[in-house]
Amino acid sequence: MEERIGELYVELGTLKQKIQELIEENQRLEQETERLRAAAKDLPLAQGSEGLDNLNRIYQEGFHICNVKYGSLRTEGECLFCLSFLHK
Amino acid sequence: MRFSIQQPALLHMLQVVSKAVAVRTPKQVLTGILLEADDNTLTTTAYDLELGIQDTIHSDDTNQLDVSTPGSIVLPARYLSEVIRKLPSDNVSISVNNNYMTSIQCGQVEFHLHGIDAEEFPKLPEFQSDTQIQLQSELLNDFIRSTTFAASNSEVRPILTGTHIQYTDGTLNFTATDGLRLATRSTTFDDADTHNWTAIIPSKSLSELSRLLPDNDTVIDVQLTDSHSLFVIGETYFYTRLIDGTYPDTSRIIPKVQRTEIRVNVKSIASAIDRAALIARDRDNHMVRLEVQGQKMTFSSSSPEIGNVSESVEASQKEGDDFQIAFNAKYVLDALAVFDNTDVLIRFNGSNQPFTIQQVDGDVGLQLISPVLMR
Repeated sequence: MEERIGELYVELGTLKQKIQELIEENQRLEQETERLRAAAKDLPLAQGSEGLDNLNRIYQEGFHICNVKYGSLRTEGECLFCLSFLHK
Repeated sequence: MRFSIQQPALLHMLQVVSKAVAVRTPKQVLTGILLEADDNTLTTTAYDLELGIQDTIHSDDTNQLDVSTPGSIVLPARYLSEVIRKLPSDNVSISVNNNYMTSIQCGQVEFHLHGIDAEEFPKLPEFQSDTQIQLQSELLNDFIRSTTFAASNSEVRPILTGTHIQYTDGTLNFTATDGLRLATRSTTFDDADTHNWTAIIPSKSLSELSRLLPDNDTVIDVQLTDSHSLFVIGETYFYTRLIDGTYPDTSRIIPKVQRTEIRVNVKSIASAIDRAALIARDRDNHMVRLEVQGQKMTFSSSSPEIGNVSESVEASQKEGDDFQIAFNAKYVLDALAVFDNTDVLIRFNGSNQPFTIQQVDGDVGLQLISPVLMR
């Protein structure tokens, strides 16, 4: 009987340790997903606005960014196609 | 070939086709006008391979056409038109002799012109398509005048030199744009039974067509193939090549909402902008500024070397924000010229967005103009 209690006690000890390990791992994984999710959320956003900023800058520098006249020099005023694209 | 005809009738035929004579071409035959006499008809044709015009007359009491020997000849357009124009208004007889030497006789005058074999003249495109619609001359003319001017003049992007004509489920639409302004106009037909089609016709050709269209309700037959279009105006056939390619999607660039809407008389702002444009220079895209405060529209323009001008016009109605904008006066004047002397609605979306002009009553289409940004 005493032996049995001792075995159960040890088992309980290892279970406790296991639970702790699992909790710790879970927390770590949760943090990891959180971090990745945040990074994933930031990533396309950052890229998108950067792309649009780039196009905006290219347009301001005097080049067409629309599909009709892409890349050619803008010599005479604002382009309807480019504006509709930039303010979409 | 030998025939005689009254000078005014022949001159008229030559003037009708003369716009399709090639100006700069290595092919000499294209600089000529083809004359074909057959039984009691005379046909004149000019074709520069892009635009072709053919006019036919049948003999009647006024033109006194009399064909004694059928035949055909190509004569140099420049000299033929000048010669016929300067002949007295009398009976002219034309006959072809050896080596295509053609004699033109009228009273005591006798000209000899070197002609070219009619076989060398290019054939006009053939039309056997079922794509055709009938339009009233007046309507077609109005459509051409209210849209084609907005097309581009630069051959860099050929597609924008054309006018996009669409026939979709009974709605006919003309749209032209050069990327800085856009003009579009639509109308609906009740008895729509033809299938849908779309074509890009060179705007220059349409302007020439507009010169030939009578200002009445004569019915014009329009036919299309994949590569050409044909307009039949009575006995005059007007052929034009189509522009290949896909027209850019213009529905996206027409704003659907507005921040400010102004109702004002066309004449009053047109003359104000016209005056303001006197000071605006070519170099600055004819830039004229507009400041809207309440119902008051102030047009101004200034140039360091020349001076400045400012003029206020009272709008009859205004809804929305006050703002400032600058635009190319030439484009706005072109657009305003489309409207009769009535009230128009101008819709703005702030100083860096395109604005639209539409007539209050009656639909004569929409004009869209991009602003000049004030930096």
